[in-house]
Amino acid sequence: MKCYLYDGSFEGIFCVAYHALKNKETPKIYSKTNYQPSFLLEHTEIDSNEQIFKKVKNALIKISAKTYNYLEIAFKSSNIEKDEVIFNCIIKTILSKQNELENFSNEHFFNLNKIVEAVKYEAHRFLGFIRFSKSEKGVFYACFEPDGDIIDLILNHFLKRFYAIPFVLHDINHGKLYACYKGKTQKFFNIYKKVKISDNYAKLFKTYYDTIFIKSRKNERQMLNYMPKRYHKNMPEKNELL
Amino acid sequence: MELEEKLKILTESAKYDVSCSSSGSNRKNRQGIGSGAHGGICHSFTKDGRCVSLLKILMTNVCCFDCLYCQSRRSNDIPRAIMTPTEICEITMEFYKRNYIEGLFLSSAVYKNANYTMELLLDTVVRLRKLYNFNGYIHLKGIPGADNLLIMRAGEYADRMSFNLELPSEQSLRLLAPQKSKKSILSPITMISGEKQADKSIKSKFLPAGQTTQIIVGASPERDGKILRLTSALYNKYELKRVYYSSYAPLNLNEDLLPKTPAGLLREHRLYQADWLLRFYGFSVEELVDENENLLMEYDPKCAWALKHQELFPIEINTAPVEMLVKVPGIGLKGAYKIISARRFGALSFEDLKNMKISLKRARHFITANGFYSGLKKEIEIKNSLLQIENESQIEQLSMFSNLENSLAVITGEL
Ligand code: SF4
Repeated sequence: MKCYLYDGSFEGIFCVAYHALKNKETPKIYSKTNYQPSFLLEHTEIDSNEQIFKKVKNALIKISAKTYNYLEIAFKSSNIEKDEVIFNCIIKTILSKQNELENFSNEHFFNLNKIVEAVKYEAHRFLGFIRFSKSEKGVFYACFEPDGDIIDLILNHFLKRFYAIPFVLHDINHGKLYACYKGKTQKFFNIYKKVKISDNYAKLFKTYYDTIFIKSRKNERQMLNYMPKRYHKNMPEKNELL
Repeated sequence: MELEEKLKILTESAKYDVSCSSSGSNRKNRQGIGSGAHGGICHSFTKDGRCVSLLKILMTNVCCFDCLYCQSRRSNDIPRAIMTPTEICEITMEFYKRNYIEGLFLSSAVYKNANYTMELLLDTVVRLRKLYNFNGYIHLKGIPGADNLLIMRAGEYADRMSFNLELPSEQSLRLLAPQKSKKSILSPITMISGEKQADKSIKSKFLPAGQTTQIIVGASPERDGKILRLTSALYNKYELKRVYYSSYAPLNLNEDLLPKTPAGLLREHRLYQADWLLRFYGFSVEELVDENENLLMEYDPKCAWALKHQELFPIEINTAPVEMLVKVPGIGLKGAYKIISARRFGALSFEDLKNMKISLKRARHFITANGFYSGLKKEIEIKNSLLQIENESQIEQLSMFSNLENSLAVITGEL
């Protein structure tokens, strides 16, 4: 079986798709970053190329801009199959020359929808789960640890909501940080260490959280369904030390 | 008294109120702080699995009324507290800025008299909007019997207001909430609905998220059929956004006029399911239940309906109109959408439905795919199979419905 190697980037997947289409091949694709050589596979390395990426991107947008948008969102996912799904959806859309997003009985588009939904769902969850602490200087700082790289999907919401407040959003899983004030933003990369701030309101909110719970209807499993444990780390109401 | 202690008491008294939804308002933020989010946002989930969206507190639980079913009633000996408008504003703002909450759900016991209480509530929301420039969500519970003018003014500042019907009939109200009357509750509902209907523009600043109400189920003898007819009138005639059902829990045990047993979550759950069918699935209340009957406990209301109307089934999923697809047990709005989308690309088989993750557990008895039927043959077998599925899924579903509107996962909920 044929196999293509690429650099693991979003652009890279498009370039792989370009070569597969051109050579009329249906290869397996592997990111160089986690490829283990195998004797059974004959592999070709495909370099990323800005022009080729744009060519495929434009062709795709011409057919369906929404499809391209879905692929962009899917790439933010932490799902390890996302590259493969994106690759197959590019090929299928270009070959059929139509928007196939709603072709739910097709495996690839079904999976694409599933991945995009999951990314959007996580982003939506973090609109609620983000927690700010007020620093001594009056800056509101929030660190969070999402699975997907969703910071760009939630930034706008907070820019609008907290226009008048200086605030910082910090995704310590992906090392991305935005500092924002009055509509202006500054972006930083590769910052993985969280800032510790103690804020008296955290305790007050925990009191509120503990009080509204109706003991006779205890249902922790459902709580965990909606608010998985891995998200609790940065939520004061879940901090038993408070 | 410390703020934390007050917060505890006033939260404790407010927590049985079910409506936590913060959806339906799209307030824009101009230079201030806050905005509404149209779909509603859950900020946390309590250990009972409910969504925390708003800071839900009473201004005070000091009450001069004596409603039999209520914990805050005058004759109960419980810890009491009062928060000043400033205290409420401060705590709301500080919580909001930390993204703990979407806004405020403020309600109150009747302190001194209806007007006095309503004035304090009004004062609080005016301060929040004008002094603190707060653009977040405000749900204000109205005080029955307060002056119309106060109520209308509050409507200029709040996103949503609710006057709770409490009990489904005038008679029960007279018996169990002697200081309240049908008129004192229904007249503000009518007035608000009149004002909303007179100005339908989206820019209208008057209660952009409309009004809701709540009915206590099981404290009085009215059947589900009667309650749902009331609900249906509230949706159709008064254009209420939501009707909430609160299953009665015996809090005041030495009260002879009240039942000693709780109504149970299953009944509340069935009412929410039926309510859902009324609002989104095109069912009429007459199709679902007779006036003097309760909903069946064994099946969900859609299943019960389908079993009664077997002459309409099975339907062919490749050709059935969407109105029929959504009426198939086990196929929800989202499932129906997937089916009508996917069938444009080619005829669908059962295999395709499975790939699309449409659960056929219930549906298979009511559909064909390309003419094939894969359900059971005998009516009694179908019923037994559905009963079994219902029993298995019941534990999970229970109490989920009070959260429905707030969770993306279930916005598209399959029924
Ligand atoms: S008015 Fe009735 S329901 Fe409301 S707090 Fe007072 S006693 Fe309770």
